[in-house]
Amino acid sequence: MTRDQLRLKIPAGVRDLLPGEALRKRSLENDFEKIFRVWGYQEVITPTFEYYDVLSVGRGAEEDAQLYKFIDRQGQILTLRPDMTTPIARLISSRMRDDRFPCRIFYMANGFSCEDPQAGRQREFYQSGIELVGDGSPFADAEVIAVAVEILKTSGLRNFKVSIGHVDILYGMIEKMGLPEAQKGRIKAEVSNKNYVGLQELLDEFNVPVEGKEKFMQVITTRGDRGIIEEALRLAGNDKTGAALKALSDVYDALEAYGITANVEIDLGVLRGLDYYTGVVFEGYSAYLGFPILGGGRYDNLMEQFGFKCPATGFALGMERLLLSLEKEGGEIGAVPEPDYLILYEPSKAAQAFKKARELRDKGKIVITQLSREDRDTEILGRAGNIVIF
Amino acid sequence: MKDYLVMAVPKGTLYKPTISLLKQAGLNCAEMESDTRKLFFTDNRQNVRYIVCRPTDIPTFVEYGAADLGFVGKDTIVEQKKDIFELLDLKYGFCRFVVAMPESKARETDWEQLNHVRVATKFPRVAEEFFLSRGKQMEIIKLHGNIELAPLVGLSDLIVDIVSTGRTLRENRLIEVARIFNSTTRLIANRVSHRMLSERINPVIKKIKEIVENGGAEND
Repeated sequence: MTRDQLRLKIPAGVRDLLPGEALRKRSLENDFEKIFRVWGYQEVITPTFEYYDVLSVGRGAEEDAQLYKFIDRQGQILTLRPDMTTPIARLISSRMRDDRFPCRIFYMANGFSCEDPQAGRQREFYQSGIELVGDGSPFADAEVIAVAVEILKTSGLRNFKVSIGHVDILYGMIEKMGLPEAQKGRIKAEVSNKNYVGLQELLDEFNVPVEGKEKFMQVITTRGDRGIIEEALRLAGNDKTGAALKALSDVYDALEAYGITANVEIDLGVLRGLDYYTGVVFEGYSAYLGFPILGGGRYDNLMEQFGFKCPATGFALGMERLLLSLEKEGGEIGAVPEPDYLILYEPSKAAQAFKKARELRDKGKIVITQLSREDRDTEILGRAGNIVIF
Repeated sequence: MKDYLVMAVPKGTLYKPTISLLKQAGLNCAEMESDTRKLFFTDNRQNVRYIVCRPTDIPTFVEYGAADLGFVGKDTIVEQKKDIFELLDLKYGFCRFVVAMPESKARETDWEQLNHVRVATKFPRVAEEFFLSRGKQMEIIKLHGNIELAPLVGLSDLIVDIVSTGRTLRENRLIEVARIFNSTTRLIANRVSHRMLSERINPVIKKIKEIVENGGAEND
C-alpha cells in the first residue's frame, strides 16, 4: 500500500470506539471506580512504556515474544506495557514501600500485545483491575474475588460464574510423582496447554502408577461447591496438595462470609498458567463468551524480583470482553443522549446566548450553542428538541 | 443459559466415523446422514446443534465458543495452537506426520547431511518446529495441497505432510525419511463451555469415552 492509501486506515488489532461505545465503556468504568474506592482502593497511573528490563520480569519466552519492543536514543530497549501488574509491582517496590501496608491499588488502563489478533485478544486492549499487596491471608484472596464478583454484578451481567482454584493442587501432585525435573516440566506444559490426551500419554510414558494417574486425571476435571474440597481434603495427605486444598477451603469460608458463593465455583483443575501464580487463582466467565472476562490470583514471588519481598494478589478484567458479553446477553445498549437545548445566535447577541446556555448547563442540561448561519439553520430547525434563537 | 449444546463436525474423511460415534453415543444424527447440503442442523429434542465445517476451521469455531465441542485431527490442533481443551483421543482417522523426499535423491543424499533444507508443506509450524529441534536451517514453502508435487518439480528438497497408508508417497516415488508424530481424531472443548456447560457436556464426554475404550466408532 502507498502512504496515501494508509491515511484513513488503522493497523490490525487496534480499534476506534465511536461515541456510543465509548460512552458504555466510560460509564462502566465510572461504576467500577466507585466500587474500587468504597473498598478502599486508590488509583495509580503508570507510563504506557517502560524499560524492557522491568516489563519482562516474570515472563516466559513465549510471553516475552508478545511484548512490543523498541529502542530509545540511548540504546535502551523500551516496551509497551502488556498489563498493569508488573508496572504496579515496580511502582510499589520503588516508590511506595514505606507506605502503610497492606496497600490497595486500582487501575484502568490500556495494555498491548503484539501477537496475532485472536479470540478476545487484540493488540491494544483495556483493563480494569486491582492489586492487594502486603496481605498473604485467605481474607485477602477472598476480598479480591468479592470485588470481582461485585463489579460483574454491577455491570449488569446476568449470567456469570467465577471459578476458583489453587495452583499447588496439581503442582503438589506432580511433585509427588517423584519424576526428574525434565519430565515434571513436560507434564506441567501439557497441564498449561489443557491437553488431557497428551497428559495421559505422558503419565503412561513415565510409568506413573495407575492409582496416581487416575487420581490426577480425576482431580483435573473436578468442579463443584464446598463438598468437593472436603472430599479432596479427606483423600489428600499432609503435603503441598493438602496445604493448597486447605488454603482454598479457607478462602471459600471467607467467600461464604461475604455471602457470594452463589456466583462461585471451585475448580481443582487448570485455571491459569502454573508458572507465575503461587496460590489461589480465579477466572470469571459469561455463558455467552468463549473466553474468560477476568482473571487473577496470588503472585507472591513477583514483588521479590523488584527487591521487595511481599505477598500480593489481584485481578484484571478485560473491558472489551465484558462489553461483548453484555451485548451478547442482549442487555440494553444506552443511546448517546441528544442535547436538551440548541441555542442559535447572531454574533451580536453572543453574550446573551452564552448566559442562557450557562444557566441551563448549571441545571445539568445538555446545551449546544451554534452560530446562526443561513445555509445550516433550516436543517437544525428541522430537528426535534428545544431550540432557542438569539 | 445457552439453550443449545453446539458441536462442530468436520467435513471430509472424518465425517462418517464422527457421525457413527455420535450415533453410538445416543445422539440423533439422522438428518446429518441424509444427502443434504445443509451445514447447520438443530435437534430440538436433545437441544443439540451441529455445525459442519472444514476440519482446519474447527479449532477456531471452538476457541471462540461458536461451538462448545469439536471433532478434529491432532495434526490440525498442533499446527494451529489454539487455546482449547483437548479432552479425548478418539483413535480414528489415524495418520502420521512424515518428512519425505524423492526416492532417487534419497539414495544419494542423507537429508540430515544437508546444510540448508527447502521444505514444502501445508503445516509450516509443525515443519519449522521439527527442523529447529534437529538443529537444521530451513526455508519453509507453504502450499495448500498436492505437496508431493513440490520436490518432483524442484520446488523443494523435502516435504512435510500427513500420510495414512503411504500410497500417495509411493505413487509419486517419494520415500519417508523421518517420522514426526502420529495423529488421530480428538475431542476438543471450548475453555468456558467446559466449565459453564459442564452438566450438559460431561455426560456426552463420558459416553464417548466408554465407546472409544470399548473399541471405538469405526466398528459401527
